[in-house]
Amino acid sequence: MTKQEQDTIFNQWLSEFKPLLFKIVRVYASSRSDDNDLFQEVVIQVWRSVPNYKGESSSHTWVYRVALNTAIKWSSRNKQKNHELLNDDLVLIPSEHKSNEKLDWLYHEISKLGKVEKSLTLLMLDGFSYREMSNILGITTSLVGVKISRIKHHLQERAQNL
Amino acid sequence: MNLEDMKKVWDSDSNQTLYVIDQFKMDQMVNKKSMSANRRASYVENFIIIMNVGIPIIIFTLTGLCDSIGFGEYSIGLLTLATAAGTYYYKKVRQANQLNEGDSVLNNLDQAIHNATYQSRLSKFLLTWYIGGIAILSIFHLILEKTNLWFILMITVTFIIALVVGRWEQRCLHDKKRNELIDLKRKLQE
Repeated sequence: MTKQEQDTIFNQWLSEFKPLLFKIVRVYASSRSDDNDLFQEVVIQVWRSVPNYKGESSSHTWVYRVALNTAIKWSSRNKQKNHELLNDDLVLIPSEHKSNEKLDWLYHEISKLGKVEKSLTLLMLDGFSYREMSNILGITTSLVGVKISRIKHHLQERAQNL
Repeated sequence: MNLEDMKKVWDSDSNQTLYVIDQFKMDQMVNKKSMSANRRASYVENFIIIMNVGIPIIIFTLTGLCDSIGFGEYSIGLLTLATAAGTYYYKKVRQANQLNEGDSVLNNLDQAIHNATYQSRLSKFLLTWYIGGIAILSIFHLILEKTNLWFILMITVTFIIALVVGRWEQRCLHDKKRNELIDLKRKLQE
């Protein structure tokens, strides 16, 4: 695959799956500098993964897997940096959008979960079946079911206090 | 708010743009970072291999021209060549376990653990074999030359400090990273 072909596919994926990447970044990163750091890491890994994509799964699932793999490993080695970023380093800029209290609450609750639980919650809310989740995570469907059940119970308990 | 409501709220987010990407900076960043960690590791490994093959060549050439080659020169030559061979072996092990980010999370973690284990072992190998080997040869050489005992002790202590600091760095950096990945894998499978 030539670099130009790789760039074309990458730009196509980025345009199509931007909201997905933003969600993952927002869940796994806790500060402005972490947002950018994680987003850059995810983007690089998605770009590098393009030649390995053989079409066995949908491109949506592929990008999801790459982004989750990157975010999970990133969060396991990263403590909050809380350092000031120079403007030159900012690839990602928060946009002005209407704040949704319920949505903000949901993101806040998900970001408090463990690294693995975050990925399961994202997959659940994005409508993946247990089998698809099992393929993405590499664990059995029954284990997915057990973990999802715990997460649902936890979120519903938290929602009662809302 | 029940789960169905949460899903509706979540779906409403798909059309919102949380961030704006600075396309120009992003393209610059991708171009800059496209030299992968794998290539960086290769440069370091190749540098170590070339240095450790080059050193005995230089030593043998210079010593051979000026004097006869003795035990000390042969020992250092063997040590550095063995270091080059060991580094080459670890390089092949690392290349055989390349990370595939599109793989399942569990397989990807397994590969990441393999790579972290490789880094830990390479670090241990270079530290123990290289510094340890040089320490032994240097001290042995000083003893043969009947150098002042205090000087030999000072050199010994310096090498011991270097080994201890190296081991501490290895535990804090490489082993810590590997243990975090193993812990993550365990949580995924619980």
